[in-house]
Amino acid sequence: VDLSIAQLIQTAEAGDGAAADQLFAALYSELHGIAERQLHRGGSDLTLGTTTLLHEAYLNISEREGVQFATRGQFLAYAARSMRGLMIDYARRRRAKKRGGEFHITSSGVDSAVPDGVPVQELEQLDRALHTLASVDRELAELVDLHFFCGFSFVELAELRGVSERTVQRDWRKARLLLHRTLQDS
Amino acid sequence: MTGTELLAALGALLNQALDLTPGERETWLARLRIEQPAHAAELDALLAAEADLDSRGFLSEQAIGPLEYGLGREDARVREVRRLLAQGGHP
Repeated sequence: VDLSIAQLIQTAEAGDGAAADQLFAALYSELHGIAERQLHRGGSDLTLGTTTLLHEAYLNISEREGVQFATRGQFLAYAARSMRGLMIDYARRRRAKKRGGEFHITSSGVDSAVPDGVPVQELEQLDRALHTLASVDRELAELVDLHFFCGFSFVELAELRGVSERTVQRDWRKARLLLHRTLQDS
Repeated sequence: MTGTELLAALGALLNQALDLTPGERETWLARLRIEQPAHAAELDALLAAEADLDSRGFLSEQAIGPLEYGLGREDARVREVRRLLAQGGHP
């Protein structure tokens, strides 16, 4: 039985691991599909940042399924983890293209205009550390996904979570220190 | 104690430590070093590492740049979504 993304979120929230796996796969597919469509649409001045991509996914899913999510934060938290996977896959693809000598021209023009960011190996280690952190404190791991992988500012995150910016900054410091500790063990 | 149990314990201690002023934290840590020396040592090391993490820029920039699509122009449709989200509403 195919469940909608809203239904999958509801089922995953109730602790259904299989639904959670389906949900992340569906969200990944949604994000990847939007990104690819934008890529093929081309145009030198058209781009897609990660927060924009998440918002576009939210709009698409809401319109298509005619649903209202319990909270936008709930949707974004799940989508942000899928975005992490997408970002790492893109970083891997970028590395593979560089190795193959094919990485010169992108849809947006010259490759060198695109910053490299964090090396793929570090992203993969961080991904594993985030899995560990999520098993201890899911909200902290979501915060890292939303800020580091999706580009939400502390102000936006405070609004999203209904807390003060100071609280978000405190949680960010905590998340960063715990990730550092986890990475020391890996 | 497993790795995740240690992480959970450190998380709870960080909740307290990060809310204190430097002076309050030092007093609190002094007591912790007596009551829970192993955890206190872990916490001391973590707090001491923070300046180094700052200087190394650990998690200070976004993971990768825009997804090879150029530089972030937002169209009217996306601005509308942002407006709705800011209001806590739904499309």
